[in-house]
Amino acid sequence: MNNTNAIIGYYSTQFGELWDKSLDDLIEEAFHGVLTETSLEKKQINAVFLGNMLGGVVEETLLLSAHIAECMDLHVPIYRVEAACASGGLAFQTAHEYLNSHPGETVLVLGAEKMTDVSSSEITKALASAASSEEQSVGLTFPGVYALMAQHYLHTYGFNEEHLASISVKNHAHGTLNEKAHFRRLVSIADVLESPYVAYPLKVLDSSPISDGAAALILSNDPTLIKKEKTARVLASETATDTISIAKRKRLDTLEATVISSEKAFHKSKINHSQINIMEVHDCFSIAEILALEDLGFWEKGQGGRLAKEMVTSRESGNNLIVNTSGGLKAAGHPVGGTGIKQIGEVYLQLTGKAGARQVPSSCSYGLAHNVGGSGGVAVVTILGI
Amino acid sequence: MSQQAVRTWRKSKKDKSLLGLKGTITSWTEVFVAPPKFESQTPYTIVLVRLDSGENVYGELVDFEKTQACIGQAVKSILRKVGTVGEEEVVEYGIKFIPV
Repeated sequence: MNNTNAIIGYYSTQFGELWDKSLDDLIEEAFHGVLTETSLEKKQINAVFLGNMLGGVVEETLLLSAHIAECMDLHVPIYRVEAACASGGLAFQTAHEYLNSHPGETVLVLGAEKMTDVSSSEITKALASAASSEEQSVGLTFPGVYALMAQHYLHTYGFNEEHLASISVKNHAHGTLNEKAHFRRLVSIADVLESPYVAYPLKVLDSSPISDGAAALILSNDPTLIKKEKTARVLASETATDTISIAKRKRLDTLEATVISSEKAFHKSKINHSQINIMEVHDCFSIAEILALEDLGFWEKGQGGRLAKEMVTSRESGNNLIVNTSGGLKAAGHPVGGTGIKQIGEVYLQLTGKAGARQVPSSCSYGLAHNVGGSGGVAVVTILGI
Repeated sequence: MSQQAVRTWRKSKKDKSLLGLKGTITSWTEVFVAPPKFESQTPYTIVLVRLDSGENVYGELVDFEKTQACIGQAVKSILRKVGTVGEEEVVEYGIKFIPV
């Protein structure tokens, strides 16, 4: 039986450098927050799905399911999902699949990450664990891998660092309206271009920050809980995979996992690209948003640099597709396991008219969230509708 | 770490087959923020090379003029020391590239 899974509530902690909060504190706040938001009691939760990448590496903390059970005094099944920066998105996709075979149930999907307890060199090493052993062994970092893709893209299609910088400028502008964002300040093209290099041609202001944070959603297919005016239906949540090394791929200017998961999601949701008005895409680096818009099928391959510079997806543009209203990973922050949940949560808020100061002006019926793990080894595309 | 020597030995078997090969740079980057093992060498240049055999291989570009760090540059693989290891660990050697 094909029942409808719907998001009935969302909560996010502040994203940023939260020195007074541990991973357990963040999980607990998001868990309680979303229960309060939805007026649910924890006994109504049939299972929990957690997206987290670095607990085992940075905090030396595994078996996070038991941490949640202890924090929340629960005994339900708890599944921890790891797919690097797509941990949150894949936790959601897994929860969606779970509900498809568990009619009448309600689950809590949580993404959380604690990143600021270690030095930048140590977190660089930890994040590089989502790169291949060949990449790590020559001293390539995670930004370094995206830099290789950026160099290739700029060279192939004749763009420059200013085209990349436009993505950060737009997302920082959007982030000023998000009270939970890590950064709420405008940056100019000059600010981006003058920021120090992380891995040429990518600079500090091309890169998403190291953030702490957690976000949680309630997903249900219990008809008594799904009140139409306040919920967003999950029309599709699809995932695809690719090689861990970008050296093993046919092309450096495409994330094939994004292409495949997008095609599957559009096919399953039975809607077309022009019906999507609101979208959160994975901008871990400026180049990633350009590749995402192309690989999701919104922009023609090789046009992304120009369209980024024209800021055609800015909320100021007046166009009917606005991208990264939350500020994206760049400005809202990137607590890696939390990001995928925050993206879906943002689309939910926009579709249900609950986005507050950053609510897009025109009403929208469909939205998309796109989450990437590593350098494209995993992608998750989720389409919501009201 | 006790297993580092074993990992290095295992990797050296693959590296041996990649020595002295020619290829072309398909992309490159200069790394400024590095993990602890490579921190003392920043900034350094990493290239992705398409070998004449068709295989794609990563490595650091060394002994080059600035203009030679570019897509399309012909390179050759050589053996060099890689990264900084602890006093108790085995010194690592691996594939790097020089312009030709």
